[in-house]
Amino acid sequence: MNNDYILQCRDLSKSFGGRWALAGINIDIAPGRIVGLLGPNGSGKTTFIKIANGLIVPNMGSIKIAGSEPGPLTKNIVSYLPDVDYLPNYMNVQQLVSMFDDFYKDFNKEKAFGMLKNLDIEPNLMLKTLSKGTKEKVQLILAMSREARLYMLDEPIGGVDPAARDYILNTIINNYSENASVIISTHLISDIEQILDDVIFIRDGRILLCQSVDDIRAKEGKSVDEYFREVFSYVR
Amino acid sequence: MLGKLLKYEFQATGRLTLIFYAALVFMSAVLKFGMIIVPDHIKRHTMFMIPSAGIVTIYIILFVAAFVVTWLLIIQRFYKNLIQNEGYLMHTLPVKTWQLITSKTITASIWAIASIIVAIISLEILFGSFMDIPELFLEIIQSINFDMSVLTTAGYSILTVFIIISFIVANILILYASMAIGQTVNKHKILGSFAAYIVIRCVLQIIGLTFIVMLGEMSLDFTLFATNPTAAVYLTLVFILLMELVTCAAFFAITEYFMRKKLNLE
Repeated sequence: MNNDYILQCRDLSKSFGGRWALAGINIDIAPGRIVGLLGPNGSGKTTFIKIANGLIVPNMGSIKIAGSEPGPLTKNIVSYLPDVDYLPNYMNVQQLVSMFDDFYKDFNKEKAFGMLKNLDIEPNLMLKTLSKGTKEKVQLILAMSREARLYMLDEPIGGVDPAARDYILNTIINNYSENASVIISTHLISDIEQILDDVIFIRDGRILLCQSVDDIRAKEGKSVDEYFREVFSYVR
Repeated sequence: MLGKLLKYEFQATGRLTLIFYAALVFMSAVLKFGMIIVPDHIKRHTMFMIPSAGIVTIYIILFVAAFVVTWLLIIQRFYKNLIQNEGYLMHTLPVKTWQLITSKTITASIWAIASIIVAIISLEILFGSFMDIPELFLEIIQSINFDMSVLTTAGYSILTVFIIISFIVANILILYASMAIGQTVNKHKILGSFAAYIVIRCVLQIIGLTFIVMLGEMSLDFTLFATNPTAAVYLTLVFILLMELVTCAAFFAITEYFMRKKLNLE
């Protein structure tokens, strides 16, 4: 495998009790690209991201991040935002920032506090007391305050109001270093289309398409959102 | 990294345990105080017996609860933090799986041992030197006609303490291993953990019985016990300690394997 790619997987497959969530995925992601991982529910997006983060072990195939298999080395350079409420609820925001700072060498405390301030989030508040949307903002701030080489954001803007969404998308473009890559899995394509470099369409555990946004717009003459609706149409 | 993990473990678990242990010691002091202060003629009065029985009941419940809560906490902490949603955080930290398990094992062991010490303190407060547990134990042993002078040596005490500690650690690791195995079952993680625990306990029983039967079959020279009881006792204790340590190692390995290679977070 080529070490120039930040993420490479070959024939990656995972089954859950007979059903193949991923059926032979091949992906190459170069440094410095913002990639949209787009597909309907149950298409395998989250499974792929979990495997990349060492949370699930694949049945077949391989995946390498910066040349290594998922492990402590890759966890040091990957910033992961899961699609679930995963932080300890009894801690307050400040304690969580300290904890991330403690464990991750690339965590930028000042950036985190800055973003919290911009979004009017009080650091002394316990996570338990925050609304779902605010919790998601906190989770996202923690993920984006890391100066990682690869960010993997699973549905980062789903539960968040449109104004915050804009702020978050701006944060994503402005806050990652030049050679870092971002993989965003989402449904809200029209919102993030503007910041994507490449898109991957995935359905039923298989890659349908892997193209740059410019190519799609040029060749199909449509926005990615329109093209997605066409490809994944439920109308027969 | 292990140190950092330990710090967060203690922060997360200490809040509950310390309150409980403090409550137990406090209740013991209150009861003892009550026993001293209240004059005898009131104590014999039937009306006093009702609230005093109530307080004693609360004390007994607290006493038992100290152990129950400690062990429930040990189980719940592992499950909630490594297998439920917090697992997304813990397993993406740049640490090795064995460090996650070790930090929890150390913290759990300390609380388990602390619960025993707190229980002893509580009994000491209530009954003073009236009931010294090691001495009571000795009295029971001495009633058997046997030259047990070896029991008062420092070596014996140290060995016993190590055996108790390794027994506690082994139990913790067996619980962890059960949960590590159970989490591989999609959608039925808790059931899977229970099933794994039962199977593990049965297997351990079978192994233990096999050992005893095997020892019985071998015509060992037990005259060692008569001629040199000190050596015999030490030998037995060392053997027991070794068995416990092997159990610890085995279940640590099982837990680590399942949490690293068979992780199945949902």
